[in-house]
Amino acid sequence: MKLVESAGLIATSFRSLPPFELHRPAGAEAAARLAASLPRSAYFAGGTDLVAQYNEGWSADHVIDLSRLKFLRRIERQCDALLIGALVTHWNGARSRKVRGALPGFAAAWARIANVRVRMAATLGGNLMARRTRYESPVLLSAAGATLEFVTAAGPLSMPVSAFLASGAPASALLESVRIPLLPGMRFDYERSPRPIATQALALWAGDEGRPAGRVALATEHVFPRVLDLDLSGYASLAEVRGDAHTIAARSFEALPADFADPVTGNAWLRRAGAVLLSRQLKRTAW
Amino acid sequence: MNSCSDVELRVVGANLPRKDAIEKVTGQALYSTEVSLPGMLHAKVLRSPRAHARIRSIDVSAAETAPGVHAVLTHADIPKHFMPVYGYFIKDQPLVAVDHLRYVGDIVCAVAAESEAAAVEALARIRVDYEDLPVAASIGAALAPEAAELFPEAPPGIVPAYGDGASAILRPGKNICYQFNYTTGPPSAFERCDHVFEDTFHFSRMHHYHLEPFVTVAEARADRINLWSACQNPFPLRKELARMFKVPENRITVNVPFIGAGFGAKNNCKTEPVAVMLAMMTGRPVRFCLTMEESFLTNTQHAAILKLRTGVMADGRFVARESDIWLDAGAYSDASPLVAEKAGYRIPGPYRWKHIDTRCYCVMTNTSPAGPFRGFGGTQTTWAGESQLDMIARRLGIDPYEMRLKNLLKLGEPFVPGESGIDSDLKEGLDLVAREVGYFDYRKSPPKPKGVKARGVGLSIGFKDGGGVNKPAQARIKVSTNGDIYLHCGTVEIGQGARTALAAFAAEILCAPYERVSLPEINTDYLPFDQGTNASSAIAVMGQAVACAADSVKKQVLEFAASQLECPASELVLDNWTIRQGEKRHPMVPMIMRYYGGTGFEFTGEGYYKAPSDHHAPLEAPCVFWEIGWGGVEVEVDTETGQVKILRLVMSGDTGRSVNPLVCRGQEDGAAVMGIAQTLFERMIYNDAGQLLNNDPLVYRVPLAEDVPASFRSITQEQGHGPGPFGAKGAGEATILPVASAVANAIEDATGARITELPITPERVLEALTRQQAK
Amino acid sequence: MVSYLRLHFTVNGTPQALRIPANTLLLDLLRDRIGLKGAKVGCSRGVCGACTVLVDGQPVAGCSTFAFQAQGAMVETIEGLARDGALHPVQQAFIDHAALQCGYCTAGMILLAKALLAHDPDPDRATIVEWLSSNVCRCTGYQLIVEAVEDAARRMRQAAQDDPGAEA
Repeated sequence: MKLVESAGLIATSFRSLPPFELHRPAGAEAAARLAASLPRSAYFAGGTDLVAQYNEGWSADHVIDLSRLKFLRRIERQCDALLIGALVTHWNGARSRKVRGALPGFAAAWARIANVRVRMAATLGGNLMARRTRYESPVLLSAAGATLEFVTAAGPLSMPVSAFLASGAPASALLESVRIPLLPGMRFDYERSPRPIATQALALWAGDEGRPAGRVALATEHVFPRVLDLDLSGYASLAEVRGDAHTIAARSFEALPADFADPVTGNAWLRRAGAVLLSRQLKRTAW
Repeated sequence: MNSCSDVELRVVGANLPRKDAIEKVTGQALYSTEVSLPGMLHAKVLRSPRAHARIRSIDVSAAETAPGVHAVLTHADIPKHFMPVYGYFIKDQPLVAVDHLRYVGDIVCAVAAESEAAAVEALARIRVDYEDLPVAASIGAALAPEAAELFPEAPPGIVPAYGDGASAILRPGKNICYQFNYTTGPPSAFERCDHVFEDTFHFSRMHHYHLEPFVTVAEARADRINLWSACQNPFPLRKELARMFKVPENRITVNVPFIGAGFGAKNNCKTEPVAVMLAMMTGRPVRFCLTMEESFLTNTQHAAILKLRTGVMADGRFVARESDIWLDAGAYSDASPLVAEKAGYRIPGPYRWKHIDTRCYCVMTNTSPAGPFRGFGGTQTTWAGESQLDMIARRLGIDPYEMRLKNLLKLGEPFVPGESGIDSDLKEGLDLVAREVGYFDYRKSPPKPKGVKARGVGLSIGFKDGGGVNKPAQARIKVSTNGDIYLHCGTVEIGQGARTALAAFAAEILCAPYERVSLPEINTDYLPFDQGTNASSAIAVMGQAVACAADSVKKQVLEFAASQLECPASELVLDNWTIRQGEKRHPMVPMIMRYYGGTGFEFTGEGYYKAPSDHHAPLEAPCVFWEIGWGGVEVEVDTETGQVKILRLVMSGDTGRSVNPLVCRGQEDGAAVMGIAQTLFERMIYNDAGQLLNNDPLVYRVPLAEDVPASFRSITQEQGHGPGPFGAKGAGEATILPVASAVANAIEDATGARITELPITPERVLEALTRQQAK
Repeated sequence: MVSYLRLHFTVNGTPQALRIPANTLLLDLLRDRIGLKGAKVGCSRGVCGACTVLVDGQPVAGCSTFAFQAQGAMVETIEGLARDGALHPVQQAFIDHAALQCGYCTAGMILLAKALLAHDPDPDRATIVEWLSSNVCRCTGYQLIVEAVEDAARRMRQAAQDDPGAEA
């Protein structure tokens, strides 16, 4: 539904799509330049969300199809990070050897989001760029501490995923890849059982001097992920973390802001159940 | 009557392919969404963004001159002699708004254009100046002293005739459009009770989420109106349109192709009035097809608050019940008064009482209009009644199963005075689900709590009347020279398999192969009258009309054969279009040709059924059949998070006799899964400003295959007491009824905590557990 | 940059070459240009899957896929499943198990099942449930559909065993 302030609500649909010009640039810089030079333009990846945006009343005069940019489908393992191209579909990404090898827990979580049909068509980049609270990859990437790597007409731009979710990317910035840091001993867990109310992702790794470190990202159907850093300073090993999971989880959720809630679920439950679930996540992940 | 005289049933009870199966698996089945006429225009409407507002001014001039636009329809464009309002008992919903908008989505005006894109473009050019009015987006807000009236002036309405104990009032109070009352037995019964318990229950609303949108193609040519529409009740729709547009009924033809489900939503006017009006204005065929978001803004289930005051003896015997039920009717009455009748009337449940006093109110709120929805008031009353039964049982220290046994009506015992007898053995069904869910094992040896996980079992008996109120049905069967059978009846194939079942009745009675029966597409000009495909009435009501038509045509055939063979008809048996006379066989075809000539003949039989009217029956005619859904649930409650996991789920209905067992199972599976969703997560979420927060298929969650508990089983009983042909009853609503209360009862069994509000979210469970622990 | 494009692809084995506006959605193309109405218009949001068709064997929501994405692809719709009057085993299993009611989701469910069985000829129940959870059926409660797919998988494996040369 589209809201036209001066008129009212109008139910647009794919049958009322306004015409657009289709562009198919061959390089990322060319794509970013094109987007910067064209008013009302949009990048097109898997397409699954763009049509939904049309249905919400958004429209573009120019659609820039990225399918020729093969390098956006690359997955690259660097020494300290995993780079996942924006056009990698959920299906291919979660099944890729590189992702499973580097971040098995993350790959397992990624393989469970949305549904098979959407996983096959939708891309990681499209999923992120849609900036929808109900999509799941932002939860996973928030916990993983990922950074989004953009190409802009003015050059490359890096943005932490949380900053991107809060404010969006600059106009015409092209998401090239998602950088997930490969921290020593990194492991990952995704708690999806409270769907459709909320989900929460946990990342644990060996921090300074090999001491455990971690963060949890909690999101609801209506609210973007909130990242809570776990205070693990007093723990020398994962075994200790596991042993004290309950206390750690309870303490971590004390940092959840009192206004973190949505129209369906109150802060009290999100805080209390979130802590319980985190404690269980810690118990099964910290080994 | 109603059976082949000397053969076992061949068709009824067999899992024969559905009549619509080939078309539907090959993609050839056509729905109203596929109807396209030459020169067809497309309609789109402008909808209110405000939950309650007055239109100060509206300027459509820029839309009228937009490219591709053929007509812009505002209230001012409707001829003065039309009656552009609709509704069931109360005509309160305007074709397009006059100047008062009552909910987000109310239709402000409409456009017909060459394409949907052109129509959207034109609508965006319209200028409307809205003046906000105070919003009442819930029952509580609408009944508050400071609430604004949604209808300052009374819209035209009627109260139908009621029988013993039942009555109703129009506009009994502010923002209440209808109140239904039912009472029986002396109020003094309360005085004899050992205990009286008062509990209040909240019921949330779902959307029907029929995949095929609301859609109509209409044309107004010469003096005729032709429609193709996704409509569950084409004959009443024709009557309503005739009244609104001042056209004789025989100048309106309603065609109904296959319907992509409705669950109640597709009764009466939805997309039809706007499509017809624009077709009249433009002289061109007009297609008006909603999006799913618009469907959310068109018709919904009723949210409800139910207050039960129940008097019992110390041994658990029910004595007296008083109830007040408030239904959230939304902004227009639609079928709310009819749902109120049923919600009020079903409050006794399947139990024996000395006194009942129930009132049900339709409360107008600034939200989507509520209407018929699978369960039709019974879902709401079962939620409250079966929850309270368990609560009382626990307060009295009685096992809830035992308490049910003490109070259940017996087979054949009238529901209330003047009513028909209960046509299921209620204990038989209860024992079945209790056994299957492991209820008795639990009672013998309750499971030890496993850490933070608590387990429990719960039972429930969902209860409603079926077959509609005072509902007539007519059918016609023609048999051609070659023995090919035409079954003419107005029952709409909405997915429930009615045409499959009705064809099976005809084939069985005429001792013909099932494949020989064909049913023409629904067309109100040619088919005999039917009140509508609703109230699970096809089998028990239309089924009897079909059986009657089949008996009639069979009798004619046998009498014709008897006259040709010069013997009494009683000596003859019809068998696959051959007459058997003892050992001798006489094929029908040569016999017909000999008498009627080579061009052949058709035998035609008419059938009719209606439960006889009876003023002693509270709703003026006794209920045709009783639709019962038994449920048993085993849950595991996570006492730290409030999450509920369904470990075992058994749902059962009684079809009397399953005409097609697989089709019946599909109905019961589907209804139960809708119930699971309602119980655990599915709901429309409104804020206080009347905005529907999940008005989007992306966030309005319906159950997927993965949401069905792995252990789920529906078991179809065939108790054989139904009034329909071969002992059949209706099906399709029973198993949505008991799910929520069975789950809530199981949670209480597991934890002692009681949930009285749907859906049963982890948050509510955890809150209830906290309250419980504080006790 | 183009506002129109020439699309070459095959639909149910038949090559097609069409000039289409760039904003044409695959579902519109199939239903309104090519006349294949088996893929249905449901939620129009890529959620319900009533519009599912296969593009190079992959199930996609036709309402959320632009026609230009099918350039050079092999598109299959429900109309293309029956061969020489014989139903596809998945279609036959849907009939035998009464795995359809209103029929509006049926084409999408059958095509999902076909794609699944091409990907995994012997799926366990959990895998079937996972795949079918891509689409919504509001009528059946899914149980009969899952059973139909289990049965179709059995039949197709049996047929492949009996005649290893036959096309799956």
